[in-house]
Amino acid sequence: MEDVLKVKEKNIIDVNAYIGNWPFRRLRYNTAEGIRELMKRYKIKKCVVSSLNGVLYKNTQNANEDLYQEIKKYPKSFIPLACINPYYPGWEEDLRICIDKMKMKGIRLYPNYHNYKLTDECCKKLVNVAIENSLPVFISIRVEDKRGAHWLMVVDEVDIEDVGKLINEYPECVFVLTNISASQIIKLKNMTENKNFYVEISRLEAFGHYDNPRLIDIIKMVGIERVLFGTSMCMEYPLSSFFKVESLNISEEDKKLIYYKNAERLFKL
Amino acid sequence: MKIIDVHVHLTRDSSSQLEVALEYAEKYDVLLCPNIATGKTMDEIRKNNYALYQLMKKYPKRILGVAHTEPLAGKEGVDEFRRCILDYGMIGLKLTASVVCSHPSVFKLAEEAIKLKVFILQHSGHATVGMRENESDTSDIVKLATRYPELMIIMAHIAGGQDWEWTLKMIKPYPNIYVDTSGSQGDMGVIEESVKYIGSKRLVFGSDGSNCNSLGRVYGADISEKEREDILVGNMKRYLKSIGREV
Repeated sequence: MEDVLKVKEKNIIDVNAYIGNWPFRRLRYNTAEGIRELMKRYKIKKCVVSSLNGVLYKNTQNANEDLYQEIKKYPKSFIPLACINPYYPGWEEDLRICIDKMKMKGIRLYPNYHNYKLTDECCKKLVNVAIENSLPVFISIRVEDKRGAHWLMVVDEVDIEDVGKLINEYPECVFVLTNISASQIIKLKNMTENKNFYVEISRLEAFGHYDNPRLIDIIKMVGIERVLFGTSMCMEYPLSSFFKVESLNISEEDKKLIYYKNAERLFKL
Repeated sequence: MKIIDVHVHLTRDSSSQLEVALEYAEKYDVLLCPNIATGKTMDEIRKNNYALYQLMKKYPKRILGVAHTEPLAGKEGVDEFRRCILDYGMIGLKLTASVVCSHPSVFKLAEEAIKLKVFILQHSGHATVGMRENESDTSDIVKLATRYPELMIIMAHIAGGQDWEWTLKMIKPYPNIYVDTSGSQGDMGVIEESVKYIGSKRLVFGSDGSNCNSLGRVYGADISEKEREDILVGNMKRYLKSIGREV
């Protein structure tokens, strides 16, 4: 990285990392050791990590258990999220175990893979539990580009209108929107004035073409205090997100907010 | 110059778009090979190519233009392509999606590109969800490459929202098909698999508006430094030398 980018920061927190398998193509660095290798390469101090297996498992608790076993040797490296499907029986007990025993620090949702909508009652019930336990709720707007998906697994992106409704209905809950596009953020901003959400940068672009909004425009729109550094590794190349931050003409102090200070505030580190 | 970027879009009327492109070029030391491919009529296309020619003159160290024309315009389209190469000094031809590239209207342009010894950069891919009307599928690229084995075809955006594994395996047997590395898909592994299937000599750097994703995937790929140099700059330098354009 030093050859092309001079990243000064040493405390970087990646809020969007995965461990696990994706059955439709070969992944590398998809174990705790693999992610730690990438963290060392790119000087990432901590990763907020969730189980990729949980996206496709029916019973996501087995994915949470596997993640727990995978990362328990490295408590300083990882901040785990519980992958919860509120449409599936027993999720309340699963979440309780994730919080109490596995020390998971947030909830990760994949509504379109888990057969419910964000506006469904089961999801609202989950959001109430998140509020009671002061847990941030991560919503994955997409896991992969459906144009490259397996032909049996073409899954639409999460409806941004539903995201907006949830944000408006639950101002006490903190949402983190991962893998969200610039156009989706604009749509969301037209729906809500609330400030109870963060956006993660892995799908945003610092330059862009034509007159598409750039990362700097998004920062101005939502406020720099609500922008989080994330990479989507091991699904995506982590270095891309460094290019995004380093291409911004902002102060070093503002870069710190994106790289880790906003995440520290979110997780009360 | 560290990078030659073959897939850059500009528009004739947007100064902000040009500023963004130049900002990127300055920051990462990029020689831009942009096209202005927004024209729908030959009149617009001629204006666009001329505007690009003016930019080439204004920014000779940063901009080397790629022509655009309309296959369905017949001789008029071919004449414009020739003008761009011979009079304006452009280095290749960008074709978009007015017609698939296996359509007979593209043949005259392909034959002219062979005569002029320049590449055709073709918008294309293979999306699971299907391509849009008149977008070239990978199979269209293969048909064109088979018909004209002397033609250098650059398939646009290997990571541009497609099943890139499908594409790589399909184009592997055709040495005249090259691939640009642009696209918004962040998929880790796409560059390594591209090198594995078609080799670094058939890969050229492109950004297509996904500049940081494109930089990240090439600089972040587990490939040798020689392979990375091929992709970022080496292959295009050799190509430019072959058409008498030292950079």
